[in-house]
Amino acid sequence: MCRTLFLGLILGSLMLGGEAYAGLTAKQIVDRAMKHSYLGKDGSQATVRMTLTNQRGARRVRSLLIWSQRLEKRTRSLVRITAPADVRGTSFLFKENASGQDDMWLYIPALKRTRRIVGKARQGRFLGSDFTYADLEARGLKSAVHKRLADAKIARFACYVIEARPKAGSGSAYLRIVAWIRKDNFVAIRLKMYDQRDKLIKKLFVRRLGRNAAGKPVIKETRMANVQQRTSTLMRVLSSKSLGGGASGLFTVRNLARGL
Amino acid sequence: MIRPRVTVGLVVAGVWLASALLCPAVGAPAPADEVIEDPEDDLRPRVRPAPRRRAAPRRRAAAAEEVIDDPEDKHRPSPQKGAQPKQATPGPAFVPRILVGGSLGLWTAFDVRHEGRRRGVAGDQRATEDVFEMLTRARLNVESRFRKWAKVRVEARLTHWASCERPGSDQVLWLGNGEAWRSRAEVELGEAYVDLYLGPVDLRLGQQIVSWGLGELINPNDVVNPRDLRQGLLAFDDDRRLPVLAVRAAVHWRWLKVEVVWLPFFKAHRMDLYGSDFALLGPGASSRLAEAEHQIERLLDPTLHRFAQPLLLQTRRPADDLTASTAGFRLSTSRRGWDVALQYFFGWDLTPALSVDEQVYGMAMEGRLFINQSINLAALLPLVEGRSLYRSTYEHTHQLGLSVGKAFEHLAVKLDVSYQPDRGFIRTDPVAGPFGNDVLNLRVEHHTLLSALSVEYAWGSKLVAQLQGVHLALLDRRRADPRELMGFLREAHAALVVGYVRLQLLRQTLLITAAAAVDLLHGSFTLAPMVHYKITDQWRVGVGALVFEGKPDTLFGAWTRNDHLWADVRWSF
Repeated sequence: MCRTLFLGLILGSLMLGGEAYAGLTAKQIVDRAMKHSYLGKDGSQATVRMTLTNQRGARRVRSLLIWSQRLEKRTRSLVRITAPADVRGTSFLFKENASGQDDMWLYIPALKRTRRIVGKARQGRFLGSDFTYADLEARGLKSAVHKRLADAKIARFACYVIEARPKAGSGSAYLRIVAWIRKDNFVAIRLKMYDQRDKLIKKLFVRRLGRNAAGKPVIKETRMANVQQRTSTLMRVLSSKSLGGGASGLFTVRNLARGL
Repeated sequence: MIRPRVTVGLVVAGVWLASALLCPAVGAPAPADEVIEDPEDDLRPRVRPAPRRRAAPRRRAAAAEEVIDDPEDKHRPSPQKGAQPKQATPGPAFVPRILVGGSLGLWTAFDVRHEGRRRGVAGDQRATEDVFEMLTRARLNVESRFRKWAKVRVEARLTHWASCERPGSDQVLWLGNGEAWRSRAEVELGEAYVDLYLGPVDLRLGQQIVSWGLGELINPNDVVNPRDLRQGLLAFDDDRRLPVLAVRAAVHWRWLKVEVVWLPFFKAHRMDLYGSDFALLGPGASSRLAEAEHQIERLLDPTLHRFAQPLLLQTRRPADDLTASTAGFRLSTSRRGWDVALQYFFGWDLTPALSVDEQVYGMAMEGRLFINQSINLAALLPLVEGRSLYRSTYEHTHQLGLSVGKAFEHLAVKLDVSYQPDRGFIRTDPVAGPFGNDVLNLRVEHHTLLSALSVEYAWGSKLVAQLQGVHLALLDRRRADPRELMGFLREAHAALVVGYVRLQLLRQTLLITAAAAVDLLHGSFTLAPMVHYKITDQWRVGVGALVFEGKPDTLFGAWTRNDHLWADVRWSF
């Protein structure tokens, strides 16, 4: 009797801890993974350092201030460059839309002008890094047809493996993306992007994961490698502060042009 | 034998149950965290959390950080000591920031179509030409957001320009043998303003640049700031707008933005009348105007040339008081990919209104202004009679503008239309006599419609292409009007096509740019290819060319003698 009770409790705890989501569809898993942004923690102001490494191993550093928040179930991000000096003050505003393409604006301090980023400009390198604007939005993963592949393990972590084929018209440069999403916290710790010839072009790996005060996972360090060009970008969150309430005014074109 | 194991199992189960259900602070962290209010979570309950409670989960969070190495990655970064990310800390939404930056740049150009040394050669009446030019620019700026609602920016600018001519047409120019050196140095305040963000109102007070209109190449609605035109009319690699002292208020109301700007004082375009390649009466100007430069130089001692220019450009300025103030407003909205703006500006027409005494003008046209290398005293007769020989003033103008932009899937289309009922132009054709004792007004006013339609395309961040069609229509100009305006305009309209292509390679370190403008009516054009390379994040070098082609007395053909190759280096910090 006692043994049965004990085994039941252990089994129950195991089920609750690990396999409670076994019945989730690929779409549901991706939707949960999308809550974790590579641009820093939700509801925070983060200081981020991007280290760009070229084929020869030479490094260049970009410093950014990133404000990010989910408002009305949609991600809003404001990115402001603080280094290097020649592009200091250049700012980006990302606004996720429920349908269609997300809105993106760019403020160029030298021209004192705000410009919309349209179409294929989203596939451009973000600050010369291996991230494209679309990668930061994770648009390729969101607007896609998802398929669950066999589960796998990365290091000690059990992961769902999802294949996402971006829908026509999503503006994605990839034919497909394979994502390894941790079962315990739904963080997509590895993404593999394949180009239109189905050749692996990029790999993203979440190397450092923190937890906020509520114990929720926060992406702290991400490495994106372009395996075809043999370049990589390490994006590291150096520090972050809570935005507090009333931050919605931050994510406006008006604020974009204020600078600093 | 079984009993101890059962006992241990029961104890473990009891502890597990107790920890999971009754004592969350001791047990698994996740349920416990759900109870403790997250200071970084904006959706948290309105109750302010106690400091002690905030501290505990942070310590736990620090311990919970995970570092995972990609087992597939052979080139993974090695762990870096001393660069560990700090944990998220609760803090105010605003942190005061201060940024100090600047740049130092050296630009040099060599004229490839020069005609040898001009000044000082006996009998040579051609205008001076800059064969070698050197422009040094230093910028230092400090910007501080010291309050959530306030920001200040101050910029200091130092500019030094020098040029020289070749010693002779058969000699190679190197800096040591350059002759007829000219230079100027300017130390001035650039942008210097205070921003106040007061609810729906953004206020900017001070010296500033106001960007109106949507186009980024030629923008007819960007009318608030004067320009520095001393290095040419078109600039593809530089912002030549001059900051003006102004008060600007932008009121944001739902999807509408209302902008009001007030400029208390007058500020003119910065241009050379003579003595440099792009001067109004310089070597690149039309032949009739270039002749005038020579006559001015003969009137004045060379040591006075630099000081005489501003006086000749403006013999009477608008008063330095509030009577010279100008103002405008702009309504704009941005909805569903559309950007629409309407603007009105009551400002100064920055093209000088020139008038000349008829007798002096007639003598100049007939070549009687000088007799045997000396000024004809008869030309000074109007002075004796109390009249001015020459006047250069400024007139008010009204400007109405409309801007419409739409972002499509792969393109952005922008239209800027500007209407001025009283836009001034300088008449440059020879006026037929007879000449009396009146003043001959060389300013011609027209109802002017200037439109610019731009199409922008971007292919990733590698390629950005912009194509712009510009049309100028003088609405009230008669077809048979024989007057020539501004040295090239003999019709009631003019049309330009401007193109700009920028290619970024090698992770945005190599920048290849080509810009061109074609005058469709007369076939003249200008071409500006350039290549920049970022050696490091601080150092950038570049080379380029500026080429003009076309018949004389056309918009770009007039400047063919100013073709040059240039190189620059810039350090930013």
